[in-house]
Amino acid sequence: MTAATTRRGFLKISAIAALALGLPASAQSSLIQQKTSWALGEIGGKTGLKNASVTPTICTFCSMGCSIDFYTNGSDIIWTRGSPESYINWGALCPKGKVAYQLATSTERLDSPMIRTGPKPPAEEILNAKTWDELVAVIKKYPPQWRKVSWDEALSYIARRLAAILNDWRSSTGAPAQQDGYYYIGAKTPVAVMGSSILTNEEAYLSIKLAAFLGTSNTDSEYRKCHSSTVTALALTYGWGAETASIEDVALADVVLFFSNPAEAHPLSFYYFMKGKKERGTILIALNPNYSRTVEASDIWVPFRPGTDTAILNYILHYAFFERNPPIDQLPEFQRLMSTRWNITQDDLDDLKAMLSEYDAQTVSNITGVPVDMLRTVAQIYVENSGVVTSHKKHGVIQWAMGMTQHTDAVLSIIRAAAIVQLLLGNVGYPGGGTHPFRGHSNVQGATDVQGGGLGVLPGYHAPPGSPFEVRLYQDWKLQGMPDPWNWEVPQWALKSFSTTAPSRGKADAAKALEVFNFYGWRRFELLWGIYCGTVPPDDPVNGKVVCDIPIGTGASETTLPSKIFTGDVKAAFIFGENPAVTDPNIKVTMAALASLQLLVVSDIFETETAWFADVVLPGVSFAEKEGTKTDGNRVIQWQWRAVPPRGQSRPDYWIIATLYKYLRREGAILLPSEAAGVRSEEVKFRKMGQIVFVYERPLRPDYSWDYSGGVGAAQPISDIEAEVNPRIINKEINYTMLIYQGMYDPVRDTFTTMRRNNALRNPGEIDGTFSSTFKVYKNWGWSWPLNVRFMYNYDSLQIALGHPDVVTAAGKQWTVTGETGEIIDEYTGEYRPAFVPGHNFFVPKAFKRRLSGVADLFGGVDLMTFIRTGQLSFPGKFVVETDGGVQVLDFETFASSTGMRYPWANDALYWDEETMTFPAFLKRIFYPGVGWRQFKPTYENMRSLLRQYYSQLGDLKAATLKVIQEMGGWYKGYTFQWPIHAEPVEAPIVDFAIQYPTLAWLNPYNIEVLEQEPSILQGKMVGVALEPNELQAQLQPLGITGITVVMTTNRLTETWHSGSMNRRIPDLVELVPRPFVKIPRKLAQQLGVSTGDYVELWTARGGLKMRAYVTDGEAYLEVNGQDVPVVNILWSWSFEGPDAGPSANFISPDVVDPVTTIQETKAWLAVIRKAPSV
Amino acid sequence: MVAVNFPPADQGFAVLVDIDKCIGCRACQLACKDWNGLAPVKTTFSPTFTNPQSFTAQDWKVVFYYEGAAKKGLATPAGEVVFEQVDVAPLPAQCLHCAAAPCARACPSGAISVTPEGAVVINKDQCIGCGFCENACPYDVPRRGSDGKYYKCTFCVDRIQNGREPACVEVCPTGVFTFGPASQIVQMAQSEAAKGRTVYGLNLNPYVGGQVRWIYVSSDRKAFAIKQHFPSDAVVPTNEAREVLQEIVPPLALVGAVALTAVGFASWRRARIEEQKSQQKQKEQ
Repeated sequence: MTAATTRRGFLKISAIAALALGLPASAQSSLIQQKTSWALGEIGGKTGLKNASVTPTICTFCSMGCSIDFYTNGSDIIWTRGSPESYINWGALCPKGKVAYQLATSTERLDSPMIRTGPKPPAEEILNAKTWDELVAVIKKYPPQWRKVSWDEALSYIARRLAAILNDWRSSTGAPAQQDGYYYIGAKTPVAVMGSSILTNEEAYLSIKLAAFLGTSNTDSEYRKCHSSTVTALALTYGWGAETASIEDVALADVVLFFSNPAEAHPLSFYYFMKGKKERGTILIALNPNYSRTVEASDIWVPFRPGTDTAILNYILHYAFFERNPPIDQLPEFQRLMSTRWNITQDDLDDLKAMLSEYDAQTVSNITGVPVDMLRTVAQIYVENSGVVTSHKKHGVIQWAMGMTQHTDAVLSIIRAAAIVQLLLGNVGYPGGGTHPFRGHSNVQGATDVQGGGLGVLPGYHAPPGSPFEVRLYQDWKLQGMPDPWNWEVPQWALKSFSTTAPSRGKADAAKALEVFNFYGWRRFELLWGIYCGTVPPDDPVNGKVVCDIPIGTGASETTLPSKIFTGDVKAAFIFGENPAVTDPNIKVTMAALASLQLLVVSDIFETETAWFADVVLPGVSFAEKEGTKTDGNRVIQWQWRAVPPRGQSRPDYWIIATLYKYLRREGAILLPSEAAGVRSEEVKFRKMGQIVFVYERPLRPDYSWDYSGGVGAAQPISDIEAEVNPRIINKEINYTMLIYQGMYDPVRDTFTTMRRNNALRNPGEIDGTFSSTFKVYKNWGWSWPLNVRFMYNYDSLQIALGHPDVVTAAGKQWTVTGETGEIIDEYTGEYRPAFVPGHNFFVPKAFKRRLSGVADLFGGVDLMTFIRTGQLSFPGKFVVETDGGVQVLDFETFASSTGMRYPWANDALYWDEETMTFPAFLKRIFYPGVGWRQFKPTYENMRSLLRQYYSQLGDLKAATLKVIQEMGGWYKGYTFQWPIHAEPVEAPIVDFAIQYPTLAWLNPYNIEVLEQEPSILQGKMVGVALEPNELQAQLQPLGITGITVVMTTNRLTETWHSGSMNRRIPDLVELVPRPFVKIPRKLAQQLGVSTGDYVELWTARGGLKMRAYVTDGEAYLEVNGQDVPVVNILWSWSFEGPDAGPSANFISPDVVDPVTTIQETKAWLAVIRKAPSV
Repeated sequence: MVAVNFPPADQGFAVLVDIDKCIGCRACQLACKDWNGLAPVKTTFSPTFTNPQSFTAQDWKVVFYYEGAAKKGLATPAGEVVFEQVDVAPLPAQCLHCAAAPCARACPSGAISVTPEGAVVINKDQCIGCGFCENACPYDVPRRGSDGKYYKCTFCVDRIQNGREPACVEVCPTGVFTFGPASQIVQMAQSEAAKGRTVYGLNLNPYVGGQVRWIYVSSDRKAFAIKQHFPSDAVVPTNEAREVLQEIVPPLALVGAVALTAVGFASWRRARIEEQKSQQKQKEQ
């Protein structure tokens, strides 16, 4: 009985008593003046809305790219709402977006730089923790004890400490001079630079630029752990590692397979999914062990065992080839696509079909736990609504996120399988047929692009030089006049190390195209960063001394970094806006590694769990306090305006990094190889008609490249902070360094195209006008890469939809096009013309043509460093023209007036014609040396039977695995992985399957380290893996832990975000989901005697933690191959910091990784669950 | 108790809530808090995922989640295939703004005004915290704040009177809410009902004026949420009885006394129910 009820009961009686006494009913009415009208915002105290300034920002949470309008008065935020004009969110927002402004107003924000005064938690103590509570006790024993300092003191401190570390390393190794007498550095530099997907493009770009100037390839970011597998698998199959189409595409689909949870992770995407449902009855099929809010909104729930996605995808194709009548390869559209757009032969197809024949419905049902009738229904629906079957009247979309990407077979199997399904069913490249991985963070696509995807790759995915040989080849390419692949002749001396089918001029193959794409990138960095990479002297590529400021080689990834720290290979790290102490798998190991660094600098807006281990913490700003560009999950780049000034002493990361550079330089932390080698300028020379022609001298100006002060025209700085470091100048620099981002600044009209907020569709006759109006694609909003293409590989979709090609008038010409072409500034007129003619196809623009091949340096030799800062066009470069009379060297004016080419400085006179479109999608893809499926099959059988034999002999899967590797000389030895096959996760719930479908993990030696608990500091700690239930149970037995073995997977909710460092500090979101919990199936709960809200313990090979159980029928309890397999879903956005703390799921997740990209396997692993003895 | 003028049910505004379109994201719940300047509330684990587990003085809009069983049909080339599965349906709830709001009738201080738009609004300055509104509400909406006054959804009266739709309507990513002139919305609801969809909010007890201004519609599949959420009859019997008595007591005081006994019994029963509900609530918090 509560007080309220008592009171209420009393009120009732008294009311009735009053009535009984006959009081007049409306006795008081005439005395009351009722309020009946309200001013806007009166109730919630939002006055002043009418006079407020309105600034559009881009939401900082997911990758949809929603616009949030900030209504402000000076630095006060009155209100925020979704921008009504945005074609992405049309005024709406999700709950996180709605309260995102609280990141700018939170009282927990860091407002000053801080230096640690307390000791760090010792690595040994951290690693000894067996439970989450023990870990927290260790960590809290060693608080950082921050001392607030000025920016000057913080940056000086960092610079001094880093200079000491690097100078020690230089004096002990001789770097940057190498033993071979050359000057370069890279993977061995003991510094790592990490982060982040929440930075703007300009900030993320500066972080990678800083890494390059520090000479390290140890660069990475959040994308490693979310979609690195997507990026790699898609890039190697289609040409580009990104979502193939923008969000409008999903509304054109007739069926969608969700291997993900976008209703929660990307709520606004459901505007377009629902649009499709309403307009064309799109069938939504949700494959997920968990009854997510996406499943709620879908037509059917297909619960399946985590990590068996490949089997399901392979069955879809099995149905198409073997159950369907006629099989799809007898359909004319299949045959057309096979002969024109895929790289396979009939023999390849036969090989693929031989592999697929093994994935019949019953087998796949046994693997996945999905009943046969449900599997068949899904396959039927998907295949019958596909492009090849309907002649492109209908298409299907595959949509995924972490559920697919975080597996040890993500690249080689799961995502490859999705990519192949989309190709073979004729979906990809046609509206409504996109391959739609949804990226996580607001700018994870952009960070991936501008950081090249990490590991030392350069911005724009230009791979760095792999060796001094490659620098020599590059120098020779420069001497050839920086030709396109068709004009490049691979020198005879290089053919031993560089393999191509078309070495001579006039021909190109993929090898040449991809190599020139890299060279082209390096040249851009030389020009914009004021650095050098080549030989000295420049006209002797064969024997000259190699001097390269671009770091050479491949660095450590985020997931493998801890191991490099333990071995002392990395001693210092910068982490910008990222929280690996929560987001890494097996975080105990990461925490121990962070604590072992000699110098850790963290920049963030809150004191994150990672900051707890830092030596210096720098206060960054929220999204609303800075400006710049962000690239949403489907490659649309939007400008984000600054709504309010930074709080306290906090500063945007562009200011932090550019200012830090100056301090690092002053203290001698940065020393470029060219400086050590005494190179101060480059003599640009071309080899023409057997002689060396001097073109011009280019002075090296590395420090000038870091001067982003000032700004003119459209780049006027917006405040004093931006006057010191102006992101608009950085934006222009990116426009010129990264081929794929070219066009986001229009140098002819001095406008930033990413600032366009026009939601009108284009009209037929305009560039992509028919495309835009037919498929309702908003091409006038922002800019997308490449060259404003929204639906990639749309080579002939327009022709197929219209029945004839389309005609476009632009730059004074008519263009016949068949698909979406994108647009580029015409080098003759300065107007826009269609870029990829007749339409965008696979692997473009990696393969391009250059009108200035052999004629001039990039962009006609214009001084770009000066141009992006001052707007002044000057041409130190010259134009080398071969005439009957010999070789002539002309200045820009002479060249421009004789050729009419006045705008080479805008786009380097690049163009794409039919010939550049000839590279097909790599349906067949060789990942390792070896043979195809049919030839490999006997080896595979042998591997499986050996594994079974050793397992039954030894009773230990780990020992059996190592024995097989030893005996066969490797793991999966001899298979190319040209087709995806099902492989079990490292921690497999059914040992029979672990033997029948061996994990791919052991292809990567790093995973063997994890298996054997290397390096030595990890020996004897609870940090390893248990390969099957028996092994896990045996490991837990000494601790007295018994219970039911379950398959674990991780989850995020609409209301939570990633590491939780943001959402846990927004009280409105905390109110909705106050603490982490695990979702467990009702049947399991009954077996455990657990009711909803009770605490359960989860124990793994990494330790144990305790959480509340949410009991539901909406969590899979599967029957797999006749065996019960309960799935438990754990929320992971919590840790020990902030007002809403809770156990971290990554305390118990394994750190085994994908062999290709090293993404961790956090979506399928094993735990033992039991009811918590007491709370 | 004041005489309240209710605009006719087909005048003013109304909202159609299509729960088939709802992805349960709770943007509406936070948009409500944000627009109305409502402070965050300390909550704990919710066994239903609904959080807070019902309305509070600081939470005027709450998304409730219901778990049920559903038949799900899929169109295949061979015809429709039906799977019977668990289902979860989110139901965004707030004051329904009854056509003739019993809370407004019950308020003794005249603090609840009904605007020409049909918004039923508690005026904080005039609220005396007596709780008659809470008692009168068949949907368990008004909540007493720490200042002793009552709070609930205002239909975003300070928005709809100034040319904007309610904050929750504006923020919704999937267009769950259709805000418009009542005549139009009622017509839409009727045509949805004619299509065989489940509609809640029309043809209700005269106690609420026969209909409400926030009308819910769903397919068969999600209808279990509507059935679980809304009372089968939109009436509070004790309060209804009181209102009847109010009219007849002066001439019939004696009858009134007898009726009081009956009502007292009904009140006791309802108090029991309230008690149980309240205990459950306490447990959840």
